[in-house]
This record gives sequence, structure tokens and C-alpha cells, in this order.
Amino acid sequence: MSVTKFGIYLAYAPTVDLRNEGLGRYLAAFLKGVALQPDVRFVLVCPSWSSESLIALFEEESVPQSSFEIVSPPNEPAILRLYRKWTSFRKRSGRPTRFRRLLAGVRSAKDRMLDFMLRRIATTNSMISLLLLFLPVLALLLVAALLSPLAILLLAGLLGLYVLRRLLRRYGRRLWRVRERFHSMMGRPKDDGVILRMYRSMEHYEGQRMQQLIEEMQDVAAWYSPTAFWPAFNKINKPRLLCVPDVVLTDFPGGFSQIGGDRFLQNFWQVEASIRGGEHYVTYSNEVKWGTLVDRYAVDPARVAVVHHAPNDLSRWIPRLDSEAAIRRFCGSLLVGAIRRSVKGSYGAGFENDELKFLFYASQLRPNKNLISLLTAYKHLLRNRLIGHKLILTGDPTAMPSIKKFVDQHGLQKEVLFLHGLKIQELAACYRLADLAVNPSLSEGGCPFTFTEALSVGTPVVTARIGVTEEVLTDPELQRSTFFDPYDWKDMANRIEWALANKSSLLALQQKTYKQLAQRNWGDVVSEHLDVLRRISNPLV
Amino acid sequence: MRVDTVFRVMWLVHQHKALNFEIEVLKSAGVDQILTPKVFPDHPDCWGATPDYANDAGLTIPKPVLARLNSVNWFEGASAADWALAGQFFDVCVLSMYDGHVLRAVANHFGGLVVWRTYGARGGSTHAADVSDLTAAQGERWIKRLGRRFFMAPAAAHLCAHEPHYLASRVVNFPLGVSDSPPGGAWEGGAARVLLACPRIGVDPAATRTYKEFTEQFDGFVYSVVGDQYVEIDDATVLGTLSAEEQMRVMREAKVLFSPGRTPDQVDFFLLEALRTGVPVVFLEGGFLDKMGGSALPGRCKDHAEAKRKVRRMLTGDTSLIHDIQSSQQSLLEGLSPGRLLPHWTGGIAALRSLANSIRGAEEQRPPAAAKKIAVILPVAYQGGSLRGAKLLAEAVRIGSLAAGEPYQVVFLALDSTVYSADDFADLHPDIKRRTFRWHELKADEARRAMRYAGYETWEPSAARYALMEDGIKQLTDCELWLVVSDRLDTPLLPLRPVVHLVFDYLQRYSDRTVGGRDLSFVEAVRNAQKILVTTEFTRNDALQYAGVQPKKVVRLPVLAQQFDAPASTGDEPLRDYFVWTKNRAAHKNHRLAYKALAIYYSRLDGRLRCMVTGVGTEAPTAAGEKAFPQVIHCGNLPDAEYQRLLMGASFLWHPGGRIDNGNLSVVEAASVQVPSLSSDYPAMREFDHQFQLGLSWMNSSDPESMALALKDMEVHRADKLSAVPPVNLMKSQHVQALAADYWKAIRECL
Repeated sequence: MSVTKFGIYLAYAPTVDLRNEGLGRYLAAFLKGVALQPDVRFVLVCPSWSSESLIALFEEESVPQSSFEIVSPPNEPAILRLYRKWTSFRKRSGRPTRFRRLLAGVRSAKDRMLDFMLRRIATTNSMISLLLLFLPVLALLLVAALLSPLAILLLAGLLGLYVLRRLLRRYGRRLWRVRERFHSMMGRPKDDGVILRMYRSMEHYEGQRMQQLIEEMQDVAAWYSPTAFWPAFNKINKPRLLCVPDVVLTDFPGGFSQIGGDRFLQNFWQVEASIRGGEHYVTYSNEVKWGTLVDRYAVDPARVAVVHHAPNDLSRWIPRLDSEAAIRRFCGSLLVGAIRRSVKGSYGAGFENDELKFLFYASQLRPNKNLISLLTAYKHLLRNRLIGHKLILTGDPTAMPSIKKFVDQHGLQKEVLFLHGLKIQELAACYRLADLAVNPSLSEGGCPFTFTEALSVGTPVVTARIGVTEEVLTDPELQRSTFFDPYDWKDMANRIEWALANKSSLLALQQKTYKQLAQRNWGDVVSEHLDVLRRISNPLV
Repeated sequence: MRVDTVFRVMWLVHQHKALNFEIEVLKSAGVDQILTPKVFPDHPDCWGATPDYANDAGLTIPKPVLARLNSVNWFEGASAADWALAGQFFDVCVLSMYDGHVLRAVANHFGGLVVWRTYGARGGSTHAADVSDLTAAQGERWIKRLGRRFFMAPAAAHLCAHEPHYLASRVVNFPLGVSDSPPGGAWEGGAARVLLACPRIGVDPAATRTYKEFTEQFDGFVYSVVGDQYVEIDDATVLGTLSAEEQMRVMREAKVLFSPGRTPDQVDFFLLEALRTGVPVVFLEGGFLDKMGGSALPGRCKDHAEAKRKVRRMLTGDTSLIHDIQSSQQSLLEGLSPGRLLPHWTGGIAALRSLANSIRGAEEQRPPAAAKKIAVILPVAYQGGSLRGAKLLAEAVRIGSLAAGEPYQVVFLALDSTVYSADDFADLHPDIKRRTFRWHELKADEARRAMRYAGYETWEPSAARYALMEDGIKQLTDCELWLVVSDRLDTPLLPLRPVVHLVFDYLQRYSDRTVGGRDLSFVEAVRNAQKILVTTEFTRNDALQYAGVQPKKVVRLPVLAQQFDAPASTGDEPLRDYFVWTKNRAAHKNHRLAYKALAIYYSRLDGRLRCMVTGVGTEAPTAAGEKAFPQVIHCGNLPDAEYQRLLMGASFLWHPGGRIDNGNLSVVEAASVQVPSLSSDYPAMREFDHQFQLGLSWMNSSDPESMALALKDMEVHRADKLSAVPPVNLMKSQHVQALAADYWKAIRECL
């Protein structure tokens, strides 16, 4: 049997850990699907700095090694290795050293002594006792007199300190800014302009090295890029298939202009350059094919294939037990653990209720997610309709200050909980325990996973009526029960309230559709991608 | 949708010096069905243009259709129906752009391919800058909306060398050349003079500069200046407007033609004619000929000094130089012949033909689009008349778009403010969606990013801050058009969508009071808009005279007014022992003189009717003069139903407003329930009276004495006044339902 070889092009920026990226998990699922196809093999070409995390990702996700090989240029750039050493040193320096322990002991003894003295001064009634209290001080002064040369040194030291303080007062702000900049560069390197430019240079150089490797692989029939962030993909002189999940910034220019700064703009330009230089395209929905590629970028629709997602099944993360109570207790413990970890302050730390009633939306916080509408609807339901549920979100509230501001302004800090950084089992548990999953998003590349993820663990869903949801959830009765107008928070609130009151019937209706959707698996997704890759690599067939 | 499969091209380009060549190669490339324009814009490029019907005979389209297409000014005034009709018969529209809004029209209404034919950007800038200037920055969006259907066809490749991607990536190659046969014979060179081709001196600043420089440099030479002139030039060497034949004769006779070549990125038609005729050309480096491959020609000069040396040699009979120049020009000319350029045209036409076919097939697979939306926005927390006007506008858009078969969802936006209650919007039609918003400001760099994301590749901020309407959803970008009621914007709106303002008045023009220096931002707001809608001729004049906007941007529409249902006749005539005065706190309402008039009416004229004062802020008298008479009753701001009841029982409505405001539509409401009105006499009220045929009674609002007498007259002669009130059916003809079509017609032009 002849084996066809296809290539996957990956060009993540330095320091990106693929295990934390949605696309990393997508890639793992894709390669698992490839493993089911005996006549196909993939070669993954990636930068030197990504190969380690790719291997770790595939090991974690149990991707069979038979389906792929990883090729990358040798040796990471020296500056990157230096950076890695620095970050690991920083992590190590977080642990207390012997010197720090000694210093802490001295400080503690000093505090104890001071407490003792003050207590005695405050409580003594006898003048003699009071004078006796100063004996240790006098003794210290005596010793100091005896060690006067040392005292001179001490005085010089104090003078030096004074001068240093004056200098710091004068130049301190500037020094502080330098320090802050340094910390920012080290902590969030991709947000720093200089580092970003350096990244780009590294990527450019690494792209050339990858290109050399690719040019040597004459046996690869066609190449696939799973995202549109890498215009260097277009340099490959073989049939190319570029995946364009979405270009969401184009639809939310006002919102995205206020986050991510020029880094987002540069990424946006990268995406535009990739699309403009593209040859063949694949999207997850007709919405992106027509609305984005054809209408915005004037791409010939005949060059765009649409491959829908397969459902995301989270049920494997929920223990298979006969007792519903036991399942809920297990999931409840994960939920409470996540709340205690994520919700700052004593409110989160002391949270106990593992039978919490809540609405759930798992998503990053981004301008296209329509969260202010969801929060407005939720506030109405809580304050006017008295539903009593909490709203649990999984995004990082610092990512969009307007969300945090809304929550603070309306006193919802104890009602809207942000459980950022959930592990996959915690995510499944949240879905399992939620009374209702809600997805208010206005724009997605493919049908949001909320629908299948929630139903895979038996939780009903209400979701926004947008192009991609209408494309996949086509049953009119299901649409009537499940969809709300995302531009109308009242409609959203009404739909949520209705769904809470009709949970069982809604779930029964949605389970029918879920069963149909679940017929499709990641193997099907891979097969459809392979069909496209075969077609473009052999256009006469 | 096309009615047949015959490939046809609309060649809506007016450049008579190029047209013969272009039609010739177009036909050679296999296009024999070509429509050329018959009506031309009032633009300098088209002055003196005459229609050419020669190609109509080859068109296999019905005669009435052809007649209609020939009657249209495609460059400026074609309607949606015109474009739709053209789209039924033509695959490709090649057009020159004099008015940028033609882009909007073709993007929305023409189903075929659109090719922008250009002979160079205006004023040596870029075509992208032209698009932005001609469309208030919206043209880029319209071009992108055309997507694969849009192309640029520069007459020479270098004309688009510095364009942004959205233009540069859409170039189709239709190079301009010259026909083989020289018109009227070959070069003679009998007149020992140097010729400068320089049309439009005194009209076009660049031409004026060229002429001036030439006359300074070539002082002492014998020269003539050819080219159509539109102002009188006091110089006998300027030959003025000549016929084409005369112009060619002058060219044939001239010993040499000098080209200063100051505009390399614009086609020099005279130069092409000169090459074709065989006139030896002396030209400065860096000009159009350099770009066309003439950098090695012996007529090329580094500067004027060298040019003058060469010209002098030629005028004094240096035949070898003349011969060298002519023979080298011949080789350049060969590259511009139809035969040499035909493959480019054939290739370009084949690509367009194939794309037209594929687009037709592909569009059938396109999923249905989501409902489109228009936002009607109240930028300030207005109540009273402005709020009512905004709601009526929303209703007009809803009804108008629905009636036109182009249903748009209307979204009504008011500020997130405590001044509003749900009752304020209870009368909005259920299909009109309501949202609240807050003003949010973007810094210049954020604004630039937003515009880049939205697809504007070249937009640059000109203000430090831009306003964004934060609705908590998508900052209104889900709406195709922002219809802003009033011009009250303190910060320029970020132009993510086209903006139309409905402006009621420019009261600040007639008042000593300032608006805190904010007036300039109001003026800039309307200048940045696509259109300004006004409801009176008076305000239209103010928009032109005060705001200084282009006349064609201002559209006067009939005013929309709330009308109540006429009372059912019960046989019981109310006492009608009062009249109603609708007012608010605004100073321009002329309160002081109105109270003086009331004082005279009650104290000297023995006024019998009570005065019921109603409106925002009229809960109690606010000044001593207002408390003097018990007959004056302050009712406060009443709900519509209560106000209607009050009005229906009134003897008449009194509108003593000042001589300048935007008019008071209470008089229309009064007429709708058959109550007459007494009004101040000023332009807006005269216009309302005319539009609704209200039969108003008038008074001089600057004279309390005459106001009081007019009140007494209304009291005494009520029956006469009532007879002047228009009947109910006449009032219905001015209902929002009846006027919505006018509004929709104006608004859809901006979508």
C-alpha cells in the first residue's frame, strides 16, 4: 500500500507552550484521526523552540507516534536559551534560601523584642522598673563606644545610605520604570515592543531554516497550515491548504482596538498577509468562507472548502458511577476547589457549597463574546426575576477591563465568578453541575463547542442565533427553544429564564440533535481535510 | 440577474482623446456590444463632451431599455433601478470616477464586474487618496464590498504603483496606446516655433504653473500654446479652444513640441498625439515619457537649459537632431500600437469574462444574509420634541424600507440616562429594537487600529480622540448606517460606518449666546457626514451658509409630525374656555414677551380664556411675572394621552416662540384634532403651515401688544379660525406613513 505524505506547518512564537493552546489540542485530535488512516502520514515542521512542547503535548494526549514525525531546525537561538535559563532561575529564586531564612529569623527576633519592650513600658507602674528597661540600650551604647572605629565605619555607611537615598529620590522614578520594563519583558515578553520585534526577527530567521527543510522534502504532496498567523507558509512551493478559523477582529474593530495594542494589529496584518498570499483555504463554517474570505478578502469561493468541527465530548472526564449523588459530589468538590483557587479573598477561600446553582459560560473574554449583554441579562434575572443562580465564567477578568468594571459597578463580585485556568476535568465538572450553559457570542469561526460540550454531560444549552449556530443547529423546533437574539439582552434573559423553567424538556429536545451531531467524529474531520489535501495535490483527479 | 448570456460592456469613460483607441482594441479583443455614455457630468474633464451613438447599433438590447440607459448620467445621478437594469444586460461596467458615490451605487445595485478606468490620480496623489476624498472615507469600504467584482484598469501600469493593497491587488491590464494612422496626415514642421500643449490655463493650477514656467524659460523663442482654454488668457500665443482638426494642424506644422513632464503619474494625451503625428518632442526627464519607456530618447533633457539648446538647434534647422528624435520616437510608438497592446486587452477581457461567469455560478451557493440594520441615534439625552422627532424618524425608516421591499431592522439608540423611563419608548413599533449606549472615547492610536481592523488600510486620525458609541455589544458596527438626530457631537465619531445627521436648526447662528466653543465640533460633525437631512428650507440654507457643507450633501425632507386620532363626534361640544401653550425652559421660546402679552390680554383686553401651560419644566411658574395671573395654569409635562385630552378641549393652541427656532410641531398635533393655532410668524412655522396646509393665524412675537390683540382675536373669532384647519384626510397625507418613502429614498443612497 502506498503511503501519501502530507506536511503540517507550525510556526508558533518562542515561549508558547502548545499544551496551553486550543490549537494544540485541535492538532492532537487531528493527528489521532490521522492514525486511523493507514495510507497517510504527516510530517510536522516547526521551529526549534516548539519541538519539545509538541512532543510533550502529543505524549499527554496519547497521540500514536505512527501517524507523524516532527522535524525542526537544530539548536534554539542563544538568546532564547538564555531567557529560558532566566525564567527557571526566577522560579528557583522564589524558594527561600539559607540567607533569606537567617534574615527572616533576625527580623522576627527584632519584632519580638520590640513587642516585649513596648508591652513592658505600657504596663509598668514603677519608675525603677522603667529605668531598668533601658539598661540593655545603655549596654549597647557602651559596646558601641568601645568599638568606636567601627562606629565611624557605621557612620560612613549611614552617610553613604543617605546619599544613595538622595540619588534614588532623584533618579528613582526612572530606575523604577527601567525595573518595571525589565519585569514586564521577562514576565510577558510578547507584550513588549522590543521583545516582539526580536521575536519577529527570530521567527523570520527560523522561517528561513524551516523553509530549507521543507524544500528538501520533495515527497510531501501538499502542506497544511492549521492557522492563518504565519504568512511564511505561503513560501512553500507545493500545493498549500491554509486553515482560516476566523478573522474576528474585522467584525469588532472598536472592541479589539482597545486590547492587545499594536501586538494585535501586527498579528492581524500577519493574518491578512497569509490570506492574501494563500492558494487553497479551509474554514470551519460557510459563515467565514463567505463573510470573511469571499466578501472581505475577495477570495474565489471555489478555492475554499468548509470542514465543520466534530463535537467535543467531555463525558469521559466524568466518573462513570451508578449513583448520581456520588457523581455530583465528585464534580462539586472540583467546582469548590476551583472557586477557592480562583476567587480571590476570603469569599472564595471559604466557599463551601458544592451544590451551587449556576449558569455557565466557558470562554475567553473577548469583545466578540458579547459578555456585557450576558451580564446585563444576568443582572436582570438576579435582581428583578430573583432566579438566585450564580454566573460562572472561565475567562480572565483582567483581559477585558470593561467586564470587570461592569461587575464592580453593579456589585456582582460575589455573583459572577471567574474561574480562569480550569483544568479539563474541572471544566467537565462545571458543565455537568451547571443548570444551564449559555453562549452569548456574536461571532465564531465554527459552531461554538458550548452546545456539544454541555450536552455531552447532560446539561441543556441556550445560545445566540448567529450564522454559525444556524448553520449547524438546523432543526426549527430546536432553534426556537435554544436560540436568542444576542443583540437583545432582554431576549437573552427571557430565553435563560424559560430554559431554567423547562430544563427537562429542553434537554430532551437537544439530546436528539446531539445524538445526530455525535455521529461525526474527529476521524471524519480528518478525512475531509485529507480529501481536500488530495484534491489540491492532484488537481487533475 | 442577467437576462441573456451575451457578453456586454458599459464603457462609461469620457476621455475623447483615448476613446477611439479603446473602442478599437475592445472590439478587436472580441467585445462588440459596448455602451458609451451619452450624458456627462458637470466636471472640467467633460466640458464640451458630446455624446457618441456610433456603438449603439451593435447592442442587442431592447430599444426602450437602450433609450433609458442612454438618458442616465451614470457618473453622478444613476438610480438603484438604473443600475439594476444595466446589470440585467451588461457583465462589466468600466467607469471613470468623478463622484465617489458611484462606487456605493455599483456596489449595492449593479450585479456585474466594476472596472475603474483611470488615467492618473488627481493632483498627482494616489487613487486611494482620491477614493477617500470623494467619498468621505467610505469608498474603501464600498470597493471591498465589491470584492472580486472590482478591478482597476490604469491606462499605464505605473499609474497604480503606489496604491495600497486593496487597489494594487485588483489591477487588470488595459494599457492605453495610440491608433496606427495619424489623424489628418503626417508631420510637416513648416512653422519655426516651439509648441507647448497646456489646456485649462487659469482653471487648473498645475496647468497655470506649467504655462508660467514655460513663458519665463522660453522667453525670446517663437512659441504657441495649444489646448482647450476656458478662461480668456491675455496672450496671443495661447491659441485657445480649437477644433480637433485645427489642433492637429497646429501640431503638424510645429517644428518641435516641448513637454515639461511635471505630472508623470497622469497620462499626457497631447504627448501621445504628438508621437502619433511624428512631431519631434523635447521633454524634461522624470515625466510621463520616462515612465512609458522613453528614458533613452534623444529628446530627453536634464533641465530647461538643455531643452532650450535642443529646441534652438531644431528651430534653426538641425535636421539630424530632428531625424534622430523622430526615429527614436517611432520605436516607442510601435510599442503603443493597437497590435502590440491587443494581447493585454484580450487577456484582460478573457479574465473578466471568465470571472463574470464564475461569479454568477458561485453567488447561487451563497447562504442567505442576516437582516441588515440601521441605527437611529439620539446623541444627547433629549426629551420632548427631539425625542419625538427621533422616534418618528425611526418609524419612517422602518416603514420606508419595508414598503420599498428592502426591509431593514431599525435599532433605536438613546443614552443610558436616568432621564428616560420605559414609558418614553413604549410607543415605538415592536419591530424597532431599542438599545442604550454610552459615549466612549478612543485615543488616536486606538482609533487607527480600529479602522485598520475594519478594513480601512489608509485611514489616518486627524483628531486626538474619537467617539465610539458603546452599546455593550458591537459598538453599533452591526448597523450599516448611523442616523444621528442632531449635530451635537463634541468629539468626532470614528467613521466605522457611514453617518447621516438629521439637523433641525442652527439656532446658535442667531443668538449671541455661545455654545461653549463646541460649535466647531458640531460643524465638523456634519461635514464628516455622508448626508445631512433637514426638514425646512431655512435650515437647509443654514447648513449651506453656516456649516458650509456641499449643497448636494444636504437633503430637504418634509417634516415628520406626530398626529393624534381625530376626536369621534359625540355631540357634546366642550366648553373650550382655555387655550394651550406648549413650552419648555429654552430661552429661545420667547417666554418673557409671551407673559407680557398675557398680562395685556388679561388686564387690558379682558381676556376670558384661561391659559394652560404644558411641556417639560412647566410644573410651576419660575418667575414673578409668571405668577401674576390666576388664569395661567401650569400643568407640567403631560403624558401623550393626557396632553391629547387637554388639546382636544382647547379653544386654540398658542405658539408664541421667538422669531427663530426650528418650529413647533404642536400646531400639527392641534390640527390633527381640529384645533386651530395662533403662531409666531417666522420661517420654520411658515414652512410647516405650507407643508401641512394648517391655516395658522399669525402674530408678531416681538411685540407683546400685538400678541395680546391676536389672542383676543382668536377668542372672539374662533369659528372663523376653525374653518381654516385642514380636514382630517388632508392631514393624513402628511402622516409618517405617507412621508416614509421620501425618507427611505434619501437614506438608502448612503447605504
